Amino acid sequence: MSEHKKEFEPVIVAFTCEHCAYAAADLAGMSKMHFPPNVRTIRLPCTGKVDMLYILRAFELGADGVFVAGCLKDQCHYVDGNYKAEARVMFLKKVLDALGFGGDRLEMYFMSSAMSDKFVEVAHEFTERIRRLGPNPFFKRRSEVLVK
Amino acid sequence: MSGEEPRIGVFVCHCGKNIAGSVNVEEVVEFASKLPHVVVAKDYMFMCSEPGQKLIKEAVAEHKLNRVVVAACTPKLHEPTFRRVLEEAGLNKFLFEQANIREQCSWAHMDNPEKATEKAKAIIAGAVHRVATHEPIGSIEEPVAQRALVIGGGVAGIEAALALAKRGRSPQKSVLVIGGGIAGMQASLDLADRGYHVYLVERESVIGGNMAKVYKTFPTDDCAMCILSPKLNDVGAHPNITIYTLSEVVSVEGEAGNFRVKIRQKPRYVDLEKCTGCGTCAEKCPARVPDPWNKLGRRKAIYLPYPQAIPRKYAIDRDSCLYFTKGVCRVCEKLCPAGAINFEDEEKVVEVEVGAIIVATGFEEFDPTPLKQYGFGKYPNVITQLQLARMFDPSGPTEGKVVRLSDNQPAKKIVMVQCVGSRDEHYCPYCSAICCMIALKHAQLIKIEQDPDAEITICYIDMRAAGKGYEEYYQRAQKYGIRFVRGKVAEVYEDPETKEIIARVEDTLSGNVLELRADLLVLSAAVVPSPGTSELAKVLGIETNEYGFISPLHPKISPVDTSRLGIFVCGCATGPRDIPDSVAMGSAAAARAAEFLESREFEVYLVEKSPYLGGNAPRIYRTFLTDDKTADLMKELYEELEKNPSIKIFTNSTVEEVSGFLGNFEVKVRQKPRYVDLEKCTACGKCAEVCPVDVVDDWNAGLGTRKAIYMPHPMVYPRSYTIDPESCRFGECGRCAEACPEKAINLEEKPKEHLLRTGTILLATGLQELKPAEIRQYGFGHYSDVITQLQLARMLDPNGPTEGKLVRPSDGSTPKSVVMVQCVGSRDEHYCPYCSRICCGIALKSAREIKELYPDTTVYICYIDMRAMSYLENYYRDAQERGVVFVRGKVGEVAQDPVTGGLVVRVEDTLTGSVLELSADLVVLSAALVPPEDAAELAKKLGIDIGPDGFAKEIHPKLRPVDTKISGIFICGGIQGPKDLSDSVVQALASTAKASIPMAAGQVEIELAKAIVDESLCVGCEECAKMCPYDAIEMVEVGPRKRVARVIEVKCEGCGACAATCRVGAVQLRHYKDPQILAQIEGILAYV
Repeated sequence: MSEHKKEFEPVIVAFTCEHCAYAAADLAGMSKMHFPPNVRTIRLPCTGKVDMLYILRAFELGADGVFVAGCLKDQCHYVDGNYKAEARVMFLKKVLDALGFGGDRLEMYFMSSAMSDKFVEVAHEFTERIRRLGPNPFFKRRSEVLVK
Repeated sequence: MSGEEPRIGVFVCHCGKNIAGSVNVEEVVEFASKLPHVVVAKDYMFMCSEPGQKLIKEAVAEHKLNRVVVAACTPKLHEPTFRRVLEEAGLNKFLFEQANIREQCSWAHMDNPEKATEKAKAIIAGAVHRVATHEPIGSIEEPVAQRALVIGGGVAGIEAALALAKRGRSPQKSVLVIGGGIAGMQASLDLADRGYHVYLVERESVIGGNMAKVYKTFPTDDCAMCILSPKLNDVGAHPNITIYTLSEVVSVEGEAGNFRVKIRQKPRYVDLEKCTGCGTCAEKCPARVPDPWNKLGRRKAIYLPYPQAIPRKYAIDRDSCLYFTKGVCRVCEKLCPAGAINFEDEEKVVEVEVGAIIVATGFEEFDPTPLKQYGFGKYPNVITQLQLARMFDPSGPTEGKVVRLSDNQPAKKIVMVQCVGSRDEHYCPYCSAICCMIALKHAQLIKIEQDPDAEITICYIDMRAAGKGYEEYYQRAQKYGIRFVRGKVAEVYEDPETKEIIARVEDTLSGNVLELRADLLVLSAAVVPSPGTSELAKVLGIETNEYGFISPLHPKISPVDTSRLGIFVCGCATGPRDIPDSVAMGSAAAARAAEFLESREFEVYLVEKSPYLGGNAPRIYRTFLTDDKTADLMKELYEELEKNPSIKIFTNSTVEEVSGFLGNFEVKVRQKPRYVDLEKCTACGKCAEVCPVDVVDDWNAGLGTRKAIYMPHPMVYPRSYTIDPESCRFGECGRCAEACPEKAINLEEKPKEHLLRTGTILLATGLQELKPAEIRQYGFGHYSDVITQLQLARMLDPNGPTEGKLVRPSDGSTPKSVVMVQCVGSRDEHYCPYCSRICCGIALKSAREIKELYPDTTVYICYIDMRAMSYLENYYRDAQERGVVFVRGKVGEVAQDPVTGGLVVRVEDTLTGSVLELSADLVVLSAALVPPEDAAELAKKLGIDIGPDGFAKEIHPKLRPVDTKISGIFICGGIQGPKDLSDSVVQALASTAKASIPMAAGQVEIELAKAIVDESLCVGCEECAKMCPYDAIEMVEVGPRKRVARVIEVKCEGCGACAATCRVGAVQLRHYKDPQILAQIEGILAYV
């Protein structure tokens, strides 16, 4: 292993609903709670809007991990969007396992907008998980190609 | 699609040092300027400030920009601001994207500036890619018919109809709301949405009130801030609301319809226009003082009570600021990047003219220091429930940990003391109504969130969990292993070694005196009026009660009016109540204020299933708490109905079919024949005299008989006879028609159908008493001397079947002993797991009345918990003083004594542990209150949900108690859950406040950021329609064998569940279309 090679820093895309998880991430920042900068959120009205296509596209473009974070169960602002998202995530995890990509690179979480601590915990935990799993096996990052 | 080449401007905000402190703004701007389609990239100290906005507008003009990205704070804060800037710059507001590089970047990664800068670039690239695909989105206007349909002619239905059909007279179109808690906010929003201008006066530096402090709300454990924060933002951003913080009303002149109000505003020393809420000032402020908001921990002299507060602007507390107290410091002034600090700020007096005033001054937690026996203020580990709530909050004073204040170690053993100050003649004789639920909530939260092994004991007198879903919440708490000790804590002391608190309490169920050790002793302190309530009442010229709460004009039927015309009241200003009741009351007060100012009236159709209006109210004879004769109360309502030509009444009518949506519902109503002409009938009664049929009188709850042609009570409305087709012999008889001097009877009358077109629908079909025959152990239907509370009420009515005499149905004698059995069917998992809420009040009422009429008769009430909330506690005490005997125990059975033949009630007195056999001449069952039989069917026709308890389900139990999931359909009164007359009236008014908003405007503006179907792609599979939680997608035929989905924009809430389901990409959610999200994903991953 070359000593120039940086430690692997995973890139993580988080699909969040604006009512809960996105607001929890905001509150974490407002409370100056630190979470790993690896996590980049995308704001959707509801996790029920998360299309499997989005997750696959994120992996295709190099995300090492993806998580979907919605409202607490039975507290979805659109009745049951978080359950719909959970069903899709669970299905896709199996597909990713079958593909040999690893279903563990995808996860579903639930939190309220006040649970900044939960968002921070999830961000840490998931980043560490992906760090252990290593880089996206189907993608060659430019930085990796460049750093010899 | 606009079709033109995107020309994007990127504007990066420093936010003082908030962003620039950890993100290298210069580098980010350089990066952004090279992204595709970016024509210009600029940075500025505060993009949200006036000069920042100007900079954007000028750049749009100069560079002919057609897309804008602002990289700054969270869009939840300033997206509305920048969208407005775009509109002012002549661009559609949806051609904007905000990149959140503050909350989710610079602040979250202050420890790692390099990574923060890298992430900021990725976020901005995502926004740039996304905005390139944005399309302008317009709005449509749908007409709203200015007619409402009210289903159900009970008190709630009548009150709603009257409120909608009234016409005001004030030339003033503005209202003053005093108090910015949840009730005041709700009243303000309802009025502002209806087009009135609201001056909202708040004493603190920010609005939000007590709800902002409670962390989570019972019984759903919803996060309070999550549901409050959007409302705070709505109030803060509403163009029709002017907020005066740090302000008090000093004088009111004039009269209803034209008040002149002087408001005194204390200096804030921070310029509201300039302050960006960045917090640099508070970080560096050297003065630390006890935090009055959290009642725990410390805050700075320049402060923002909580991060989500509105206005999100700091304020200086003059009493603790070093500059004001010692003449040195001014650090905040030096550091404020916006130059917002102004030590020269002065008190101002503002004068406003308003047509009506709403008082929503709320409550505060009683300071338990005077109750020396609890050691509050003496021992560090004795706290109040509000302090405990603040401990749960991750952004609160203990960072979300429940700890002993003596050493900050996690609290393992917690003892909660109920009724601290409440139900106490020396302090607050009334019940504070919410403390039981708060204790249950906190106890469960400790178990769920803090420590599943924590030992929690709640010491209580009665567990008053009486509200929708509350009893179920109490049951759940028991499953968590929380210990309940029935007894009042007598005294506490501290173990000097361990700092543990030892609470001494007599467990009244076992008779033992317990010594409970606690790491934390939590006092459920009483609810008392906000300080200054009585002074304000004097300024306003309105009455208060002996406890300092504001007195409503009439607690039952005018719960939001005050003693002065044009001044209304809501929330805890009139007494302790929970959040849903406060919210409903806020809306109700808004409805009354608007009723007063509104110059337009709505047409109302009032549809009632039975032949008479009134519902249960006229049958219950008297109200509890106030002992009013309901016939008198109803008479006033009927007179008002009579006078109002805008209300069309359909009795004997049922809703058959409902179609359409908000603004334009079509309702098919079937009206059964009455066989008696309402116009002609004079209620002389000659028809009934000759009628040969006798049947059981259902109006009198099965007591006595009536004829087939009948009028159940002299005080009914409409005051006319009716024929019961089930028992009339029609053609075989016809005597009534012959006897009628007015020729009012038409035995050939046929049913009618009406097609009603209305803008909104209010459901107020009430509730009914459970028929307790199926609960065999109580002998109802088996022993004739076992009756229900409703039957008892009918007996006590002088116009009732026994002419007001209390009699044993078996032999007509006067009972010498009456036993009332509470919770018959209620709080019983086999029948109704919920608490029916009002039966305790009803039993107290009838027991008191029996004692008054028959002082020698012994009256027992066998209960589990006496749920006499709020002022009903006084009524309970009065019943005790009158000699009503209370037995705490659930009745096992009602049996017949084989020797005497009399009834015997077997009950275990849980306070003595002995089984009592009470001999009873009359047994009265407080039967559960259940929804009407047709509730589920009617709900299905309307498309609204029914909850697990069978009652109609509101869309949100806390903040939207009268809204349903269908826009334009509202629920109120008993159909939403058991409640008394006053709560029914409040909900009725609240639902009219909601219904009036679109009706007053005559149209709804619908922003088209909703789902849309590409019909050329749609294969008609219907998956989207099935997925939609709002029934907003219909299937339409567009050609031979071509069915496609179509979105009903009025119904669509914009969640996107349909789009994520569509297999062919035919359904898209505008502004969140697949190409837009994919572009953002691409952007955030492409560069770094």
